[in-house]
Amino acid sequence: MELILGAGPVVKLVLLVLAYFSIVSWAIIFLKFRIVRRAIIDSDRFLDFFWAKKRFDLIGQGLKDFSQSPLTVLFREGYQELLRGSRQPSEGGGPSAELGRSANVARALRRATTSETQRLEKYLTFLATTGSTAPFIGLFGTVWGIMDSFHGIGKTGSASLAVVAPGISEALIATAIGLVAAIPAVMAYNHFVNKVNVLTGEMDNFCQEFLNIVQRMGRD
Amino acid sequence: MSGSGHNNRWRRQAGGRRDPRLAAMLGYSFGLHLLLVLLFGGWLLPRMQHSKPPVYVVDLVNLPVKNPQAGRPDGAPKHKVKARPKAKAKPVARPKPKPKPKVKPKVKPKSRPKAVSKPRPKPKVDYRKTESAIEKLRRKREREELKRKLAALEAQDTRRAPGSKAPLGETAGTGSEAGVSYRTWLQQAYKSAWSLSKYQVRSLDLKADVEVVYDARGFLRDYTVMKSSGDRRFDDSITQAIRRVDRLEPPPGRTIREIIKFNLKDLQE
Repeated sequence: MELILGAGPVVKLVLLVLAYFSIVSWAIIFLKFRIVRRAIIDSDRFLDFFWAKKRFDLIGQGLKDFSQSPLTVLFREGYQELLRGSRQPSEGGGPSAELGRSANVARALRRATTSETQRLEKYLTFLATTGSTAPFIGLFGTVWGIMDSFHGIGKTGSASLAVVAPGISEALIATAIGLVAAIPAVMAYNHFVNKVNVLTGEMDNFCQEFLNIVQRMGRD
Repeated sequence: MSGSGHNNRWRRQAGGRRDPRLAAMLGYSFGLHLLLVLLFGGWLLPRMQHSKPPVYVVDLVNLPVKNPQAGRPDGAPKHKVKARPKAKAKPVARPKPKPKPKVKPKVKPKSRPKAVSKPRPKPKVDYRKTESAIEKLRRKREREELKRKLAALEAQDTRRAPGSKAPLGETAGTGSEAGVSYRTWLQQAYKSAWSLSKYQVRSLDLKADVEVVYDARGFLRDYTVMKSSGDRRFDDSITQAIRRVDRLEPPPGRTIREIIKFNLKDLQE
């Protein structure tokens, strides 16, 4: 603590900025960990439920149990679009009308996939920003602190280790805290991006399966 | 109209609004950081106390050398002080009985009882006197010892700058720092700055005296060769060495005028 309290105003400001980055990063890490974990668990459970049930209306009634899964949003949007298409009878009817209906469902599913991916990726850019900029901010604080220290050495005219070392030590704390903020952020960013990619893959697969079912229903 | 409502819903879902759980997580994160700061700052956990080895500062320059015992621990002199009076006390009792038995028994065997009888009463009487004499001597020596220690301490105190609380010397120093004697320090500095091979000069017995003048800020002001060695290379190497030491650190605060003796043998060492 003496190192932080003994640092100059610029270094203190840098440390404050880094503390802000670190606090927000960890908040996002906790939040995303919870969201992504619940999304994966609920998606697995929902897929089991989906394949276990044969009717869309029954599935639609049980969606509340899987509220955190992005697949439930996809199913709801696809199912609602399907219902809207069936309520509004097309003019021509026949295969072209069926194709138009499945195309509408496909668009709705694509839009839902995009929105769910955005929701899952929300705030991850802050982690990436922290990971890439925090070391540089810390380095800036260190450079400034060392400049200050050398300025003091030039004024006093003494260059002994006892004079030089404390200033450099106070300056280096900025780089250390920058790395402390950046390393968890980078690790968490990579972890969450990987998990979101897995969930996006699952959503794509689910869309394909849903469309297949819709088209089969149209033919029957 | 239903399309625009649909779009707004998508915008909301896509992240236009801040997640309410984020505020709670920010609170948790802030608390965690605060806890870490308190832990590592030493406010919650007791700080680890590092056992530092004792540092002994020995001043080899101004230590009084008349009494080498002055620097010893207190236990040692006491032991010797006690031992010395005993050694001296014995001769007080011995002189009278010893010479007589040695000389007289050979000539007159009867003198033995005389010799024995004479010293007997004397030690009985002198024993108290000798004890008191020993005690006085011991006290006197202790007083002298204390005076010497006091003088040594006063000599150390005078070397401190007025108002300075800094310790004497640097324990981690290499010994080349300017200390009490600038002459010694200057000689060391010149020696390290002096470069001359013995193959460049004719003789190894070359000597020269140079007067150097440094101002109060420690800058070299003047130097004069008082006594030349007679060898030009030798003299040139000396002047080069003096020019290299053109500043004293820390500044002496007064004008330094010293005559430095340069000896090639010292350089070879």
